[in-house]
Amino acid sequence: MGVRSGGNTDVRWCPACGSDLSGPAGFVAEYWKANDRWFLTWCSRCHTTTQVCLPHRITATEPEH
Amino acid sequence: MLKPELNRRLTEVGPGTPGGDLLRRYWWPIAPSVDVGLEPLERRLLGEDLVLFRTREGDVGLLERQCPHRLASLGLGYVDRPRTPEAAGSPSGLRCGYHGWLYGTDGRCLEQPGEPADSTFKDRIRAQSYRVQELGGLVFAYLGPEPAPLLPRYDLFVWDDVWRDIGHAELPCNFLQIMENSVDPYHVEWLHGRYDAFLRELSGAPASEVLTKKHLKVAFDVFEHGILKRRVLEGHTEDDEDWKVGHPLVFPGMLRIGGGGLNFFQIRVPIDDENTWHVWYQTYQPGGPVPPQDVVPAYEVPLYDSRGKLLRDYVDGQDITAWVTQGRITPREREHLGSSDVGVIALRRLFAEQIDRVAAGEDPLCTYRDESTNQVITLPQEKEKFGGGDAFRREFLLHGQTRYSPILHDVLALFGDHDLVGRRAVEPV
Repeated sequence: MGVRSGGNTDVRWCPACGSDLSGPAGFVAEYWKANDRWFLTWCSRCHTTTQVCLPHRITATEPEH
Repeated sequence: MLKPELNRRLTEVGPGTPGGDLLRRYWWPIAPSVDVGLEPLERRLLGEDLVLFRTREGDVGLLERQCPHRLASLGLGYVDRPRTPEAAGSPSGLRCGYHGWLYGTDGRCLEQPGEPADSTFKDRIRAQSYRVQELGGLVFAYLGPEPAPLLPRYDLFVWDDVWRDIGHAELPCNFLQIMENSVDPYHVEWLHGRYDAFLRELSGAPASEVLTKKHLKVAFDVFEHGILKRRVLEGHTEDDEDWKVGHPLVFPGMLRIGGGGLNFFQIRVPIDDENTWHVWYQTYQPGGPVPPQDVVPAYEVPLYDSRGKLLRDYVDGQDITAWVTQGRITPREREHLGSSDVGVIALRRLFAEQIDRVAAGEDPLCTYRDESTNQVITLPQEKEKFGGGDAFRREFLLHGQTRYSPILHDVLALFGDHDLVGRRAVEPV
């Protein structure tokens, strides 16, 4: 999986209140964990910090049954 | 990765910018006290050109650099007493060397030698002046709106029974990338551990045992002073002080670090968007009384070797080389952060949040307005750093920028590190 070039954060809206984070006061920082893209956001309107993951693969663990 | 517009928002320091408005809410060191005398010093802080001087009465003044008359630099000026009968007995001020206009520390124009004796023109002229205070051997300046907050009395500035010295250097890069280094614990084992071991191998010296330990876990807590950084190193546990206590990034421009009686601040003073005045403020506390110091000595930390290459054979030179080679302002839209960079992201988020607070008319983090909470601000910091405070001190005194200190050998003797006294400071420990 290639690393995308900079400038495109993909995450635009605050996950908590829906405010537009693309303006000058919107905080979106991208980082990687293995193959997953993560975004830490902070919203100047609702003051909420969130983490958003764009996973390469959704995995689930089946409980004992 | 950050958007370019967000990168600008976090790195601009000039007047009228969101970041500049935040940074103007703090007191910043502008010079070591020992360097401020009758001859004015030209300084630049937060994108503003200034001139700093000490009157014959001992007061410190800070004015805009350009004389309001014909805009020559007041750095061309000199401290002088008023000469007109009307102003006789007034304190001395800064006289412009070009035409002799005289300014008080409050910026009032006291004399205009070329104008008629009965002229009131001088009463309508005022140079922009700024608040200054001296503390712990540094002159601090405040360029922000009134009412000014208190100058924070952080512990190292006010402790008794310590020696102090102040190293400083102008670094050709933005302040934020330097601050990010302070929430990036992993760089220690690589830059100061493995890379340094490589350089020592080339010179035939053994690697440092203090700085090569592997990080098993790091954590960052936003707290009342900024961000508290914790780490667990290989061979250590959560019961060690590196995790239990940690040490702080003090918002917005300072790192507190130390161990074994050597405790210091690294203060990153934004000169403008592309330059930072870096101050290493050391305290030496062997325990018990120490002989008093007449003055806190200051020294300049060199950046380049004789070939013009950034010095990198010691801890701070390695940091400086990393910061400067990231670019004047790190182009963060091109970087690729990983999960080990969460401290860096936490700091950027904190700056964004505090910029927003100031824009909303609130006081930002680390604003002090109550004298009762500003007698001594005690900051948390591990004493047994990396599992051994004395080993940390011995490593840093010869392998940090203190190797350039004019009192290094006296400091070694003060701690009883007699085996290091007389050793060449540039020698690997």
